[in-house]
Amino acid sequence: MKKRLMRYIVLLKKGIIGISIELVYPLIVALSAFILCLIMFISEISRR
Amino acid sequence: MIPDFSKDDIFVVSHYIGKILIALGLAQLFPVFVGLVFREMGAVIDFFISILACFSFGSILLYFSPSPKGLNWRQGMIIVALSWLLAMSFSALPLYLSGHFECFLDACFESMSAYATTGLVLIQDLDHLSHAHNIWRHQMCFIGGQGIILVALVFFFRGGDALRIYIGEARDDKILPNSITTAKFIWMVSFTYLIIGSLLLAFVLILHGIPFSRALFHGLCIFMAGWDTAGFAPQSLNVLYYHSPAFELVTVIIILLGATSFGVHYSVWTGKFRELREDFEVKILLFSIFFAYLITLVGFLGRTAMFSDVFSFFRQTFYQVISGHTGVGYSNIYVSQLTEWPDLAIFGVIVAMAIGGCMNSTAGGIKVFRIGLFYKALKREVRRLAYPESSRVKEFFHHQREIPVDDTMVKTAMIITVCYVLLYISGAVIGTFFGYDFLSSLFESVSAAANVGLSIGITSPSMSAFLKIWYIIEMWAGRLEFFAIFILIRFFVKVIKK
Amino acid sequence: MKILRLILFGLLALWGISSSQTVSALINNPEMFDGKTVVVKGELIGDIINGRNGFCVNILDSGKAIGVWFSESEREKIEVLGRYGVKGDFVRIKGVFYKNCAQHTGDMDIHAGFLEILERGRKKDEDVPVEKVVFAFSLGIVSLAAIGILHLLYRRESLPRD
Repeated sequence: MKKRLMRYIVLLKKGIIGISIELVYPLIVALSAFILCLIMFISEISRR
Repeated sequence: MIPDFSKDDIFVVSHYIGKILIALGLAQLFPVFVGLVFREMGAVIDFFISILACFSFGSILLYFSPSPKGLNWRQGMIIVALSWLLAMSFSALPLYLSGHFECFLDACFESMSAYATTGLVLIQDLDHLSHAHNIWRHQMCFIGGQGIILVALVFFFRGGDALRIYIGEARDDKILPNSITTAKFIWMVSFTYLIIGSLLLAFVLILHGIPFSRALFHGLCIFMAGWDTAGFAPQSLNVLYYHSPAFELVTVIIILLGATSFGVHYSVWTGKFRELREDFEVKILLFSIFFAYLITLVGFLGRTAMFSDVFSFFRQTFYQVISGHTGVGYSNIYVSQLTEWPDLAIFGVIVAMAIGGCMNSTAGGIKVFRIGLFYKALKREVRRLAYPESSRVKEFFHHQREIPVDDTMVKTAMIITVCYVLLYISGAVIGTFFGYDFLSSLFESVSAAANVGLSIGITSPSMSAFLKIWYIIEMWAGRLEFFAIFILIRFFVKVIKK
Repeated sequence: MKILRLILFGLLALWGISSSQTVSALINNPEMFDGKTVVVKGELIGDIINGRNGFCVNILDSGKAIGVWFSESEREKIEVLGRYGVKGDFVRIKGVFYKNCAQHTGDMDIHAGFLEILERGRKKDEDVPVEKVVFAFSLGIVSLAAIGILHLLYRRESLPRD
């Protein structure tokens, strides 16, 4: 059990950058979708 | 002659199903624990009954079928298909006993919806449901999202047998050479994110002034249903209950990670960050999210006056699209608001829902992998026709490594895609038969079959029983990706013929 | 003439206060009530959620719920929130309904200016039906017997091999 936990912690230490990258990537997706939305919204308003 | 179904099959199947039922009984100990913590004795009794039912039924099955030597493909498939049905009915028991359902069928609908990570609900007066039952609803999502058998896999099966079952549950991506280690890795990723995600959600709620224990409870529930793309929520208002854009943003992170395949998680965790950018599935997923969102945006051309500002416009439209695309089905608007959307925007959400997330993630639907494969195969055919006859055309896609597109792969993918499309249409036709308009029926049917859970208002306790049963079948077939179910049907046909 | 108009106006206002809308009517016809003052009766449920200048509580009325924003001064009035085994405060609120509230990023909500507790919430006694308990215990005995038999059989089966 202890050995397994140690192995898990080692992997977690290695994966910590990976996890943080993974946490940021959805934000980038959301941000670019927002930009898409903004362009469309502004073009709508300017046409009105 | 090739041996077909025999009596042995029945013994092997009932042996493993017995084991799975016992595992299901063990899984219900967690809600019992929650019930004891919150001092909900009524709920604890419900679970007590259900655990005993699982244990006694499981041990009777084990008693009649001694431990078998091995397991072949078709037995594995039958076990998967049957155990999902049994798990549905046994897990519905505590829900039904809670008294929040009109009939047992409704409770079955709810538990299948949870296991298949759909998220359509028939529960009534959810806001007064006990913590124990609520945790069980979300725990079912967590179990079903990884795979019911995957839970049992780690404890009960041997290496070779495990693989056959693993594939039955529509998880054919071998991340690690051994399927048991793969299952363990999947659990490790899920539990790590369970801790990070629930704490993150709880943190946002604490900032909104909700006391710690309640915040943690909500965080845990929302994470379990969000990560497994189920879309259940502990309150009847779903995500709308929290009235917090920040909270919704955190759920977007969780659901996108849930819809990303475990293969990519493995690569990124072990230091191959480039995989996130280069993986064929992730690329297609992002592309199709933007594509579906663009359809929705175009649908709103000339109608943006419905919204007060760009933030609220973005919040409502993008959330439905991403929630539909990843197969979650969280909704931050009322059904009446969704029905007001222009048809093209609704169609955009339907497209998003129909495509679904990554293969070997917790998402449902046709899956972006198959869409990508279709594109690659099409490209290959066009190139083959364009080049001289003697030339050999090859097409590759990147998934951990460069993999050539071969005909068997394309064939299987296309069979499943066609099955999905037929399932979508069948539900739409049946819905139309019951008097709903076609677009709404299609929306609800795709939502059930692709395991999404967004509702346009058809799903309610008062809808016809036939439609409920049909949606249960859609969720079941959509989650297991058909083959296990076809084999089960064949098995029954053979048994009856004999 | 002026007095008549005043009386009429007063009567209208009185009618406006006494008649209330159901939550499902608001949700299903948001266009009709957008920006208008509404009166809603219902049970306060769940949690108090703090936000910018005020806090939000969801109000439940015959199966449908909607978020209501209150100003800080109303906080003390609310005591019991509906949950499992708890019936929340039954209240009447008067406020402005917004279909797409600009203040709260497009939420459909009510900004309450007035809160009245009609019935104080209370804890319901949990009643566990006796049949359920009896059933649970009889099932327990049956399953224990089944597991016992299984255990014995397994032992008998494995003994000769050893």
